[in-house]
Amino acid sequence: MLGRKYMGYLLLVPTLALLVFLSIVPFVYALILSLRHLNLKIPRLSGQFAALENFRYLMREDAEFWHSMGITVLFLVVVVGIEFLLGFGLALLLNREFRGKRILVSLAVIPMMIAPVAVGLMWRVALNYELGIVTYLIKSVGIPLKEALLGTSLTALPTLMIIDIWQWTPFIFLIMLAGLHSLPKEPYEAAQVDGASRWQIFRLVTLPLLKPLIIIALLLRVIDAFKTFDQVYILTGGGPGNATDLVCMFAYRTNFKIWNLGYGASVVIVIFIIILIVTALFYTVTQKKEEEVT
Amino acid sequence: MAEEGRVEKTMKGGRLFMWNGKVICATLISLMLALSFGTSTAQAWTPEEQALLDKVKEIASENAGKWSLEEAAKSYKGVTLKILADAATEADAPQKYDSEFTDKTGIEVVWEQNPWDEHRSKMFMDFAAGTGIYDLVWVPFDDMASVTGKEYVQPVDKFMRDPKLLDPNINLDDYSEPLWKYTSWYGKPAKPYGFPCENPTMILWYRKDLFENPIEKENFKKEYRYELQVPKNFAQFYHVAEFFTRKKGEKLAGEELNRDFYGVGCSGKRHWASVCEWMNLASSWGGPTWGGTLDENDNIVINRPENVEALEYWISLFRFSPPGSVDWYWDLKTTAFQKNIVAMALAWNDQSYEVEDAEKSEVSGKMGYDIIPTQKYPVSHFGSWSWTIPTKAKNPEAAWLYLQWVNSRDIALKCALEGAMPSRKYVFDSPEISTIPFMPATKKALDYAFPRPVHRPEWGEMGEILALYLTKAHRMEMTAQEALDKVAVEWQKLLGTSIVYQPKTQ
Repeated sequence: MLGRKYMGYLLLVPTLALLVFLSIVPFVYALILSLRHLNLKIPRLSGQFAALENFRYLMREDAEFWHSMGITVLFLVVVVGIEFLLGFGLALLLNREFRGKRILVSLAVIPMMIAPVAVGLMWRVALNYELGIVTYLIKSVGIPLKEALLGTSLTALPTLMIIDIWQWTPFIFLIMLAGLHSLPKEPYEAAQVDGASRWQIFRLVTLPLLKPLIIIALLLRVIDAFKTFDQVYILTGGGPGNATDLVCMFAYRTNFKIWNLGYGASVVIVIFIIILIVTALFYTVTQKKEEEVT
Repeated sequence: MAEEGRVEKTMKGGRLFMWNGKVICATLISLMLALSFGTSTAQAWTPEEQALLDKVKEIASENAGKWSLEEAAKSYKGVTLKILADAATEADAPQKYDSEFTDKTGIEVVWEQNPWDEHRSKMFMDFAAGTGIYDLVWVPFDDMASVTGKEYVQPVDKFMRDPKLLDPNINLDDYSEPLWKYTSWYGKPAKPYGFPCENPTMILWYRKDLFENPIEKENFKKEYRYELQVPKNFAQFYHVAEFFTRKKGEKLAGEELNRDFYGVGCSGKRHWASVCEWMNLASSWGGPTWGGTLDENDNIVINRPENVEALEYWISLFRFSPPGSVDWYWDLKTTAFQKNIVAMALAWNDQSYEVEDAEKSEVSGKMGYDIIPTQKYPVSHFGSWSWTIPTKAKNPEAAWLYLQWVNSRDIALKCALEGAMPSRKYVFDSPEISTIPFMPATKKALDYAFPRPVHRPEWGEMGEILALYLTKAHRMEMTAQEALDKVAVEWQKLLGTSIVYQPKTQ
């Protein structure tokens, strides 16, 4: 009996060990680093205890960090919002049987299946002002393009947003389509019997039934968009100026270009805490609303 | 707009001064400075350094005729050396001859090459962890102050002083003093940590065929009232850039253009490419000490008036540079030449092979090379990497023997013929090398070579800050003065030294 009781825990050990070594240990190490002045490039900063100095500077003095945070929030609100509307809209549109549906769905998810680095490299060629296909198409339809899309502060961030939307809308689309497929038919039949309009059915039946999926999809995309790095690194390097310096690019530069590991760790910890708070808030708000509805 | 107006004014002023007496004065001053400054940023060997070099010479002459690599390597037979290097031609070339070393010594050599960013990550990670996996590591000179200060790598003077390990043909006089010194001599007192392994320097690329075209020559003379020539100063450079900038449908060298053509290719990306390019101008305008960033006492001079003027000038060049160049780093500049869309650029000499490669380039055989034009000081910004032996290396003596062999005259010449940039005078002077189209310009440029402030371990972060504000300035988000003042203030926080020119815009 005792063996049976502990067997469950025993089976959990490999997973827990993996979690501890891959997540908890690095996190604790980052936490320790964040309390030190450690820069691999500067001999005098060799790991002296800094208490909360790194965090104080980050929160109160580092305008670059807050700039990065601001444009990251703008980036994720815009991309996740548009991706959700487009993805959900497409899913509703394709939620019926027709010839060629499978091929269409397969084609639609291709961008999502390409590695972000490859996406960055592909777009870098396509957006080249002199030789890129995108620039050529824009010019050939008569739109005057005086500068490279990634070369001006006004257009660089929106261009990155469009690339992200192009790549990740299929993700929302797939989740929503799977959700729509799995919805029970009875509530719809009942609504039709009651004489509900198509809008009422969508608002009062489809949306509440899809809500858990919507929450998961949005949460995953918010976290993912917050961590956007590859495309920025390859396409703009955070520029022009700091127009596309999303927070992960900022963290990368601090850690692996300037090698200020102590300060860089504090940046990473703050990013982690923000994601944690966003996730918790998201859950709390949606849970509350669900309770109100029920 | 105000900025554009100011730049326009500066250039109009520039045009005028071309034709007044100041030009003659400027040219005379340039000539005098060229003669007197030559290697203006070079520091002479200190007595301690000279003593080491003399000692090495003495041991080398004692070893002459007695020393052999085979004998010296006997105790290390069977050892495998692991090298961490940049993914560059300079690292590809020696690998073709490593078997010669292995045949003589019985020491195997294994290379690991990575692109720049990845290489630096691996290098710092390995040094910090102290794994001792690598016996030889290529370190960019931007990181030499850090890795020597942290004692991640070891000085090689002890190997040089060891008669058992010193090749009598080491020929240290062969190395260009500033190149070797800024690349590999660090610490107080400075000690050698290796030899230069990848040392590009910046030169002027221009389209020789266009400069020699009779129609273009005639048109240029009509418009600017002097002969079209390779620009010797930046006012001429501006004229030529302006002259060759043409729209699709206009004629270039008598032929109708099927796309826009530009007088100059600038690198505007928030990247070290823009920092290196602009540093040439700043140094030429105000003097090349540490690329016009710090003075001899490490006080900050980045916002000196000459630098502000140089930045305004650089920004003004973008009107003759392809619109996409605001996002270019050095590779895209090379591509633009290969695709025949620009007439001139300040470029790295090691990229010249790419524009001369007939398979890749539409302008192969049409290129000309010279030193960078001179505003006041003749300059050429150089970058360099040093061979180093990590402190934790498992086979430091065997690594030294390889280091010495791979840098020997014979192997260095073979590598240079494979496309590696030479660092030995012997190689530069050899007839096979001096006939390579861009080598005479390279050799000349090295006389005026200046480094960035690599002696400061903070340079990595300083460079990032400078790149950010240079882009902000050419994107017209702030004026040149504001941008450089901002850099000065940010640098002061890092370095703790004084700002010589008090910021005007803070």
